[in-house]
Amino acid sequence: MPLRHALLCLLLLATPCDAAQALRVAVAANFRATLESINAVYERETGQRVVLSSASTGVLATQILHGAPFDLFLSADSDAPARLAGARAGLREVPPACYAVGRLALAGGELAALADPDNSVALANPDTAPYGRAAMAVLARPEFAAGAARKLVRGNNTVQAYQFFAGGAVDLALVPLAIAPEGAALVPAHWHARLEQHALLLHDSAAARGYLNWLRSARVRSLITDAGYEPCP
Amino acid sequence: MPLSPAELDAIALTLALAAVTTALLLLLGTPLAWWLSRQRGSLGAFIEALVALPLILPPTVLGFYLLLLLAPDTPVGRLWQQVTGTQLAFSFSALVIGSVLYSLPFVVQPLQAAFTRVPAGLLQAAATLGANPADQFRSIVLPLCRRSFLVAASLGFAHTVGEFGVVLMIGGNIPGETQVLSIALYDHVETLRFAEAHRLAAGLVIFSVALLFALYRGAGTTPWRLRA
Repeated sequence: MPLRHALLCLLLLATPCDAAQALRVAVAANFRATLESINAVYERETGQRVVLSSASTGVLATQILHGAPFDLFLSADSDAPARLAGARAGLREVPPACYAVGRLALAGGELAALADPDNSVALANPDTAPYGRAAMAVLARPEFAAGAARKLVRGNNTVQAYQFFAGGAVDLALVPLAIAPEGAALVPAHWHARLEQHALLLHDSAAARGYLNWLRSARVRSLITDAGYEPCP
Repeated sequence: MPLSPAELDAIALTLALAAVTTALLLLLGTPLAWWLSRQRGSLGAFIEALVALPLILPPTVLGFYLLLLLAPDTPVGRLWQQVTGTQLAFSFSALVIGSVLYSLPFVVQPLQAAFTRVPAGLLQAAATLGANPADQFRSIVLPLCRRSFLVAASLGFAHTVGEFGVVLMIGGNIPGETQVLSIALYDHVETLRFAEAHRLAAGLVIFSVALLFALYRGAGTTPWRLRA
């Protein structure tokens, strides 16, 4: 029966390909571009393939909670990894560790522009993205109260928020310094909760541990700070 | 600019998903469509309504329920884990389940419409000549409805290629495993890689237009019609 053969071939085709050997990293959108550039170094030196899935921290945490098969989770905050480690017994062995500290920046004008209600502002969804929550804290400051009637545009994550600005759809965007354009105004760190980004080992293996150690090595830390982050304590 | 390995993975994965989904849909959809075409009562209408649901429900509804249903700590997730030894949520198999449900009306509706037009008299005549139901199906229904099978398979395949919301929710955008073309395109847009996004988007537009054009052109030249 040729039809039956064809179906069998299809089912064989359907088995997952070589991705089993690759490290699967779920990374918060703000850190993806930085991670891609430093991963190029890692892959060249070790031959270990690393595949990235990016979204906002909250979206990734929900997927992980529902069983998404990632080896490592690079969150944009310390809360989500701590919550996940608390929810799944197997995740408590290696505690979440800081890999970068983020800073917020305003693209499109000086900070004072936030006091003008005519300026629309893009930010990441504060319900799922730590940088979105930080942006809301900045907008709630008394010195920007005059701009309270401003139009807020929420992206699914920080990169989408920046995209709204880059495409000219909004006047300003509160985004991570690492993805902000040249000349963006740095937001004082004490205006919002500290953006300490933690990594959590989800699937223990020699490759995953090796990668995590490499990520926290002095050499990689300097690459991360060069990209617009601050060093971990 | 050649396609990246991740994009080639996405293309292979999309074609595999669409092919497996279409094959399963033809296997499951044919008896369902036949049964529906022979129903007059409210039960038939109710099942027909269920089949048509994916046409009007937001994909997020299906994605949400599938996410809850397939998670590792649910009965379905646990059973799958015991039987296959692998996890169901965020796997290729989960995408197949989601796609079969999501593309169901695109296969069942054309088949049902075609089956309804098969004259009962022909089948009765065949039965009096000693043809059992399987024979009747093979020698009368299949040849009469060949075009509708082609339409159903093509629409099921194309709709699966064009799926987005469900696969994003239950697949989770993992390159090489659940990152199909529409998700890879979304990923490019999300990471500001517009040149790559354009390439995938244009490819999908061309593929879809070509497939639908071929279908509709074929529809104008139906090989033969049944005379009453």
